[in-house]
Amino acid sequence: MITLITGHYGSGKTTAAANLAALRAGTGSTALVDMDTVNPYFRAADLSAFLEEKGVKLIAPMYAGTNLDLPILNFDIAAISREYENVICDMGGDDAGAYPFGKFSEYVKNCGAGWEHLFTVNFCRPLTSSPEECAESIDEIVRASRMPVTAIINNTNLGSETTEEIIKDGLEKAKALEELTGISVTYSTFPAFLDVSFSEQLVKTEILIKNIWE
Amino acid sequence: MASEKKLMKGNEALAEAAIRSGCKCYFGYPITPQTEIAAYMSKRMPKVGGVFLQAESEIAAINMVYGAASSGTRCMTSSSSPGISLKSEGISYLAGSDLPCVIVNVQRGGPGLGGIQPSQSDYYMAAKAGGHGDFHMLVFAPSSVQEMADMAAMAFENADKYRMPAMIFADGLLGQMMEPVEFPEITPDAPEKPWACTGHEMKRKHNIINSLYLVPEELEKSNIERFKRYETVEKELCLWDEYLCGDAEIIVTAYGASARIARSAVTAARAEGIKAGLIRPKTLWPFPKQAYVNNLDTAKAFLSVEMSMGQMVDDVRLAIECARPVHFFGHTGGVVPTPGEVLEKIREINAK
Repeated sequence: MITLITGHYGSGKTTAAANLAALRAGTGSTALVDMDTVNPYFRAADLSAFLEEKGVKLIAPMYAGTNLDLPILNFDIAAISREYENVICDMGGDDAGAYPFGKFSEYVKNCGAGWEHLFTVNFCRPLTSSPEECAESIDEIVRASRMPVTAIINNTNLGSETTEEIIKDGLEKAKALEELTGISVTYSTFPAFLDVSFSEQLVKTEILIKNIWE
Repeated sequence: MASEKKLMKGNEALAEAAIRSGCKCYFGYPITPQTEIAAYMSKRMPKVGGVFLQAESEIAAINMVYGAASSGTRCMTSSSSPGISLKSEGISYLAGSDLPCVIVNVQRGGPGLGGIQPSQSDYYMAAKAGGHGDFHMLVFAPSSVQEMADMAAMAFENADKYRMPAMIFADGLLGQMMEPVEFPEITPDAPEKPWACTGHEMKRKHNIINSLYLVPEELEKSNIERFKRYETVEKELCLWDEYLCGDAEIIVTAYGASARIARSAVTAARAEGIKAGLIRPKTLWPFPKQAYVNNLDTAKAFLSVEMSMGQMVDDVRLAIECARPVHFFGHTGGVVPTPGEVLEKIREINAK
């Protein structure tokens, strides 16, 4: 299965991708492919220790995390998908970050490995705080990646200040987005520090990207 | 009703706050780690009737600021360290023409092209030498995403008030990290600007914006007048925060992201029984000298923590006229100090 993870800047794509990869690693060989060509800060390649612990192979551009962090992808999805059962591609933000996948879209759709395109959304983020704005973002990303979105990951949170109320508000907006686009929400996340039990649809997420003073 | 707070990157929060503060023109040029400011402005400015323009270079952008500011319009440009070097000629012209504007520096490692990771090694450039000639600019040093927003509003307000360029002095960490932020109701009421070039319509004497003086005595006079205004700013605008300073024997001092790290170290030192405190300057020019003098009764030593080879440390020594030892700890080139390293340095000073 080839999984493409996209979304607005800072919607939690990398966290979602790493958590999903850790989950899938239990079912078969799993690779997380860092395909962020937009922003060299806070990328999947920074999570190598976590991924190694979970048995996930990290595939990242050779210069990721250095001052030579160039927008290049020196690997081929076809070769990776022949080697790993689960291939999770973590893209950069917005349509700009989704563009590089377009090159692989024909192969991915026809190779027989199976594919899915998960759009990550956090309704606490600016420019995607309403279902309408998210629908607009989905359209842009579908055009750029040449891949229809098959499901939505609702990752609504306010960082360390996430409350039950914020999670509930996110669930409501996710439902509205579902109705607006006809694309189903596969799951919604909540941070591990929060104790919520009101929805079976919620998945606990380990927050992996932290500041140095935390 | 869920919280009105948004989860934002420092760069985005700054851009949104600038728009809410009445910034009508933004002139930018991409460079990591501040590009989100330009990206955000490109999406939002057309929706609020403002101007977003990606210039052909940093130098073009700062000169566009000169033009917009001359008309009295609230305007802004942003860049990162090497780009600010390019803008420094324009900054000097802005200061020499008494033009209010906001310049953002989201610092990265240097010198030269340096690197893309966070740094604070442009302190001298911001606080001492923003360009050639006798001048200062206001320098605000945010330490959180919330302050990126709050200080954008302060920068526009005070730039107009004192008719001088204001810099928001951040770093790659603050620009890129995400934190909850809320925007206060800002009423963008720019003061009357009778000096602005807005077209005299034959009803008043025409205004001239200029930094060229043909007669040395006139240039000297204008510089002296400007420095009288700077004295007022130094009296009115020194901002800082103190943390556990009351009985502190070791005063750690840091600004921006380094202050977050230093604060964790001070908390840990207190837990070990070391009387440590933190002074966090929020303005770097004017530098809050009084904060350091106020703590001389209990302070036995000071420690400046910076992402540089040691720059602000000089201002701490000057503030207390070397009345106590002033130590330094830092990393540079994009390496970020850890709270553990700072704590180790505090222990070392405490053992002396």
